[in-house]
Amino acid sequence: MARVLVIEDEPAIALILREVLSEVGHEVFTATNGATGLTLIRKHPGPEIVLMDLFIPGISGRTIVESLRKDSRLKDIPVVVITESMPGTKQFPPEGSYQACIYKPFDLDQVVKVVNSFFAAA
Amino acid sequence: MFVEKDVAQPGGYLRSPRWIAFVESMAQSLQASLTLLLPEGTPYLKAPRECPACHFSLSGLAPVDLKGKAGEGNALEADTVVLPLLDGLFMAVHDCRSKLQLGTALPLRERAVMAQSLLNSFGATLMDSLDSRRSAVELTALRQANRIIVSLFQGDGKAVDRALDLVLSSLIILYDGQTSWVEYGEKNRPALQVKGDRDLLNLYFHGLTDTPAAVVEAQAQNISLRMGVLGPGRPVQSEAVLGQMANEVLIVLGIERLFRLLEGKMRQVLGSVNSALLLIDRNQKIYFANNAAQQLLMSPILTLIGSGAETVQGPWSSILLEATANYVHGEKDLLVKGDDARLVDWKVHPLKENQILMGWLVIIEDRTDYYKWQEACRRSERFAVTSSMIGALAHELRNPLAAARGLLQLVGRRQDPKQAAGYLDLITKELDRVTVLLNEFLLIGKPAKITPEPTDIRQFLSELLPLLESEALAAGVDFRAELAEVPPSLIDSGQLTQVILNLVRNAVESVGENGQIQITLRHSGKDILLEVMDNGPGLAPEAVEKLFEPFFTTKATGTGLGLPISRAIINNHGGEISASNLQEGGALFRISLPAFPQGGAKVTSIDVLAVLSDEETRCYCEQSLRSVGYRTVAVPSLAEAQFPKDCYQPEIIILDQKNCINKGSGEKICLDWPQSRIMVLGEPSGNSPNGRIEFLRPPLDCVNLIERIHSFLGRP
Repeated sequence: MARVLVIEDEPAIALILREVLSEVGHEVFTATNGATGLTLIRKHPGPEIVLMDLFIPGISGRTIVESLRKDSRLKDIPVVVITESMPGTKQFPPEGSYQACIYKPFDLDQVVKVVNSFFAAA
Repeated sequence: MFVEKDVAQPGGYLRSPRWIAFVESMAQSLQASLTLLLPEGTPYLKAPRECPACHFSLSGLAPVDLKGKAGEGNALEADTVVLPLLDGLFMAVHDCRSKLQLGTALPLRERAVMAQSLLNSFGATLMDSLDSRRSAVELTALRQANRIIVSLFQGDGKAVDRALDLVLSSLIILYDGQTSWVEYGEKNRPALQVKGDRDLLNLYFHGLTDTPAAVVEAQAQNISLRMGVLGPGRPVQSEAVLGQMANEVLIVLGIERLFRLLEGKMRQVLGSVNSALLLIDRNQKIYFANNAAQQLLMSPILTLIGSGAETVQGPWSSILLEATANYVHGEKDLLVKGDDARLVDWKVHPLKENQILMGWLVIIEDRTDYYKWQEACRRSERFAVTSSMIGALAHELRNPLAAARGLLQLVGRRQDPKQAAGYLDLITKELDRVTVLLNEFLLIGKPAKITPEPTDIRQFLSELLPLLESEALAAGVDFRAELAEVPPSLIDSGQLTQVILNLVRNAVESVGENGQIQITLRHSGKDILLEVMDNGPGLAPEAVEKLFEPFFTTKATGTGLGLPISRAIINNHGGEISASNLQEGGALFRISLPAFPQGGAKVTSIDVLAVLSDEETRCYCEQSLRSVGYRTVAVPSLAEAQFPKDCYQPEIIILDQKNCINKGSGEKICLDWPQSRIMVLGEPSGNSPNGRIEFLRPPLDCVNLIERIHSFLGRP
């Protein structure tokens, strides 16, 4: 049971992620753009994990990750990148600043597995 | 050794060794087998004697057979030519069948005729000289022989040898000699040709024999030679004769050298050239064609040469038919080649000698591949589908596909049918999105089939305004339009509507309530400018670059394809679209379109524009005026020549009554061509606005017409 923030502008995908994660007991918040996402991250209590699409309107996914890592309070929040692109392209945050990467189209079970893996030894 | 026997009776020369030797060398030079026959048909002399391959039997042939068939060319065997000679003699000629002798370029009949003429003249002079011993007359005959041999030149190296052989034989005959020789050459091409006893010649060269010799040296240009005869006899005037023979040899060698040079140059210039070349004489006959012409016109060179120019039809044909004396050229014209058509560039150069037209040089280049490539490039530019655009499309497609997939999985996990149905609904929506994306993307890639028509854009926009206004008003946006008069343009109205709607909708969205949008239409030079401006936030600097890239969007909804498609449409129309920020804030989208007629048709100034509906009158008028040098264009009617007033600027316009039949059309014509003098072929009708129309009494008398034109324009 963890607080999960999903930053995704595609409503259908945001819905899918929310459904499948709340099914297994997580508390899911969603944001459809970078600004809202950042606000939600900084709010107290913030998320324990962030699932983020890189291609969001406004502030880019990469920028969010970078500002996250610079913040002492937030830098340890695991970030899972959900995307269509390949790592190494310029939209990606630098290697090491994100913890996992899921490609679209994804498998629901895979998503659950990845998220849970951060909370396994609870 | 030939011993000359004086034979008193006529025909006695037939036994003369000179005669026999002459016939022998004739046969060798012409590479033919000669058989001389007496009037009754009996063969009495065959040359060349040594040739084993040439056997030919006339025994048993009755005289009447021979006489009847002589001169027809196919008398005795299929490949034999029989011709009459002096004194009732006959001569049968066929190609030497020896495999050592390769065929010459000249047909047998021509060689036979040559042999006939040579033998006749030599025979005549021999008879003469036997009576009077005038060797100078023989020399004339031999000189003639030389000239004929020279004319056998086909650039064939062996021809030189044969000519020299004949000369050397003649020397032996003339001098009653044993051996003759010539040493000749340019600086680096020495050669020695010998006739007769080589061993004796070697002895002579080494000074080991005292056989008398007559020797001469001669030189011309770069060629020098030494020629001589060894033998017992030494007739009077030997030096003079020898000298003259030496000159003949120099001529032969000189011609051979020139021919070598010319051939080399000709091959260089004409053979390897990729352009097809035709030389046409003033009687419209083709007298030269090169290999490229053979290929392009699909007709062998030998067929082309000598044919009339009308047998090869092409875009230049009418130029030749008109016998124009000017350089004319055309580009990207169609030439029919077999079942296909090629795109060619062509030029017709008149060839003049002292101002007289002697013929034409037609140069044609097949540029089909180039034009097709050019077209393909242009097309692909228009489409502007790059791999990055396809990457962007793929990228865009992943989201709806991922959503559909995820939703399907969710459906599998839900028991509640209502929820499942909800998900299925969403899946359908996502798949529809995919379809829309693909369709819009394909619009950029497909050659947008535009059906352009000449349109007054001002009018077109005025009709569109109500729709635009209503959309703006519905969003609370103030809408204004300023439309000036512009020249017509070729546009597809459906597609242009799409573009303008797109721009206006974008502006409405970005400007928000209480914002302002303005459309202006104006023209600058040959371009028509259509601008959509708003007073919204304007464009972000990085957006200005990327706006027209597919899938770039700053909006939450929308495919991001509207502007790329608009650009594709405008490009297809030959125009351009661009975006920028206004100084006072807000965005400006500018479309420029070319006015019609476009590009190619420049305004040409000419002397006379004749608008005559009757074809004969029209041709008569055009040709007469052109022949005296006026630049004339003749059209059947003003409607047919598209927008002639934009293409031509004539000094004088001639019209027939048919083209002025409407009342007021005369006025219109005066307005359309304010600088031109108008002449109407017909009776005055009383409508002569400001006296600018003159009348010519029909029927058209070109002499009279030309005089009138002279008086207005002066002589051309």
